[in-house]
Amino acid sequence: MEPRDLSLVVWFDGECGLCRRVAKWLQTQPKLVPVRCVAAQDARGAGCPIDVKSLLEQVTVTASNGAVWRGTNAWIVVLWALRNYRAHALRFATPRWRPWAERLFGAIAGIASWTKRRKEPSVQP
Amino acid sequence: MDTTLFAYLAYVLISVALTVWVGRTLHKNGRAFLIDVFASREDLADSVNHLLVVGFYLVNFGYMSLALKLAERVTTPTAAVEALSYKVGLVLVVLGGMHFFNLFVFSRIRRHKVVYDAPVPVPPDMMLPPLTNPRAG
Repeated sequence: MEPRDLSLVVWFDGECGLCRRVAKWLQTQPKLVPVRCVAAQDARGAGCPIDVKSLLEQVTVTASNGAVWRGTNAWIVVLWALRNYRAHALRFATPRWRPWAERLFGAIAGIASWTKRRKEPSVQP
Repeated sequence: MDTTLFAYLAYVLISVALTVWVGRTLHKNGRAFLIDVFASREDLADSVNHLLVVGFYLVNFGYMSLALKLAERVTTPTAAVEALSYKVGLVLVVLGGMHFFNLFVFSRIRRHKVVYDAPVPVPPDMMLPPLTNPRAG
């Protein structure tokens, strides 16, 4: 059993449209564990001990007990926190499904970075 | 006593006995299972167990009454046994179906509990000192 007061923070790339949309969707989902989404760009102000650069490399989840998950593990932990998706998280964590989870979330990360790169020229002056 | 009436009486006796037997089996053996599902809350487990058995009896006795009537009157003992066997067979199949449905409900309740109690399925990639998290929630 997890500690009753466990809560999670998801650090996502605030400059990526897909990431923002996923973060917004997350807020609407019923949760078994409190989850808050914070843009990685605001990490320093929010008191995150991990530097912004490494937060932007991979989606990162920090827990109130000090645990940190990154990449596919972070995705699985977020799904685990959602009432409707906990069963999926448990499945993705099994040896049989883990490679597929890596592929799926790797693909999503790829799409996210692609959409971001495409937008970048318009962002820069 | 006419043969049809005799067949009806035998049907009612056999069906009631079968239903009560299956109902009691469910009641007795479902209890331990429900106590596990409801985290040792015996009062809750007993209550759900009882409600399930009541539903079971209602459905079965209801079906039994509906299926009682024979399409045509039986005149010979052989015909009576055949009709009886057919009707009891239907009751048995319905009982079996209900029994498996009950098992399905039990296992669903249990699977839900297993999922909701599951700890984080992946180990952390690193551990920081606790309370460094901004107020989440």
